[in-house]
Amino acid sequence: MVDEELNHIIHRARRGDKEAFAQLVNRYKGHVYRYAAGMLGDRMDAEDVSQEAFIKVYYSLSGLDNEYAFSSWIIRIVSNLCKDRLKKRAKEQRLRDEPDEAIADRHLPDPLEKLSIEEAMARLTVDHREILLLHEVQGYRYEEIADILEVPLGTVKSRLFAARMALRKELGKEDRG
Amino acid sequence: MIEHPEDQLSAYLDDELNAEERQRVEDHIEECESCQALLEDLLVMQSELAQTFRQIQEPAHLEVRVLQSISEEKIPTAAEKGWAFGFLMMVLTFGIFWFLSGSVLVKLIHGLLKLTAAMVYAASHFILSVPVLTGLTVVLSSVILAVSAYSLRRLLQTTAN
Ligand SMILES: [Zn+2]
Repeated sequence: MVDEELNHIIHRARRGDKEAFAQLVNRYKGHVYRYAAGMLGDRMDAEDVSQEAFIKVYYSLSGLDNEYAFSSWIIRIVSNLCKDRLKKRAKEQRLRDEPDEAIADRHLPDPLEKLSIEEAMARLTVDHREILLLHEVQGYRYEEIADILEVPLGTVKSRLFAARMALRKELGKEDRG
Repeated sequence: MIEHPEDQLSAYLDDELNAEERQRVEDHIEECESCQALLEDLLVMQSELAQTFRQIQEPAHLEVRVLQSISEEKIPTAAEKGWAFGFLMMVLTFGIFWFLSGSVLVKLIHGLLKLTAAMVYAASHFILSVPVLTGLTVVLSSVILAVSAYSLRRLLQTTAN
């Protein structure tokens, strides 16, 4: 479902047309930003990373060999940036030496506490959060996700199931059903 | 004991099963209340998740900011090119100089080495000297230094002519 117009814009942007590139950013910024917001759980960080991702896209657009894969390609770029940032955050957390509360919080959720979807997402592992965003929010099919994450199709299937069960647990829906 | 195809439920929900697998799941759901309930839960959660993220507004002028920082980043690139050009010119100038005055340079370096050797000699003696001999060493070193400097000057004068 790739429209001709999009290919044309990408083609122009690849040759250094800044107006075409601006159109490309405009078209994909929601896609990129929502993914980053979900991964990082922070709007400011998400905006930073989105900007960084598009700058990276601008400089590596000429290396893109298949215009049809543009959407997966851009998600792969923002995904790597998000993971880098999460690693940096974890490192800073370790340096500040305050991991106990966070871990206690993670393993013993207050059964009376009602978490929002975003809060529950923030408690999942990076892999689970990522696959849920790719499927439920970005709307990629299993095969596309396998391609983006570079994992077998069976892994996508089992990981998505595990992610859903983990989210369900965090949302406290487990025992009501 | 019944086996619940729970992991298949998730793929069933996404319409990612082949016909045979789908049939098996449907047959099971029809008779299993707990799997029906789980499927219902997953469906609700899926739509909640999608809705939550649909409501997140993307930054309005991101493209402006992106283009701005791209043109800002262009400047250091140009400066870098300037530096590279300057360095190239310097190497070129040096190369030409080397080519035209190779013999002068060889002599100059030779002279400088001699001078350095003399200075090292003087310094080592300064540090290690016995008090009585200090004066003598200083004088000797100074003489060597003076001779070296003189010979270097002469060397340069003769090559200049
Ligand atoms: Zn069942």
